[in-house]
Amino acid sequence: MEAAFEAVLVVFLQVVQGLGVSSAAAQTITTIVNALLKLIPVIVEVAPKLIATVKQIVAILESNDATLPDQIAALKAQIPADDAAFDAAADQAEKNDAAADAADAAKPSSGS
Amino acid sequence: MKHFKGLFAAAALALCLGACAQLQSFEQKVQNVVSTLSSAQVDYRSVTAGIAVFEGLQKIGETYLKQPTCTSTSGPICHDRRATKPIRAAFVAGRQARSDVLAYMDAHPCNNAPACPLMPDGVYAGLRSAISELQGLYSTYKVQMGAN
Repeated sequence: MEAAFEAVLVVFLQVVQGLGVSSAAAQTITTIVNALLKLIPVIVEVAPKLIATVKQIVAILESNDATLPDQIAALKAQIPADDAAFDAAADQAEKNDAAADAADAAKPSSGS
Repeated sequence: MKHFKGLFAAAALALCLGACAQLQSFEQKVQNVVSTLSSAQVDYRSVTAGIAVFEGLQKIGETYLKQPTCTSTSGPICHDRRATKPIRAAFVAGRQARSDVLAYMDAHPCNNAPACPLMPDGVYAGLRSAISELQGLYSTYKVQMGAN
């Protein structure tokens, strides 16, 4: 399961770094798109919330100069909600971490 | 030639999904290929895909941090409290890099142009670096999506 999740991150890494050249061949993009599509069954199992993201990346990679602006606009529109959701989760995590730290500190030490 | 190496690496990933024990060595190979690539400009399609990857990583981080803090009595689905601040800090830096990329795209739109322009690699480098850092953190803290 952990290795499957690593597979998702590895393909993400390749999307970000392997494509970043102006001369990226169409065949390279096709290969990466196919790798992403093959990941979908894995993602269904280990990270179902990422399916929409992977499909979005595929749509972006398959876009052309005429349709890319729409993809960019859609991505920009979702950013505020993504940021807010992460910040809310991080705020709560920091509170939970502090409570766990306090609980640990309150425990009587053992062995003495 | 370097692109062909990238193609082989991508094909190798597809093949090893059923036997993911080899993923670590594969990842190293991908990073080696990437480190040998050099470019002065990046196409907008790749940049946009990079932003989408960043958003995906943020969803992973959100889901991970929603899990309860790991303690001696917590279940297996939990987040390592040592990970919270580094992950948050990496997103703060990554958002600035994302803003820089989007600002460049706003200033150099591909609307009404015969083709989308290319972006200087230096503009995209910050976002690429932030994503690499996040992936490193996720690996270090064994971040998983969990059930929630």
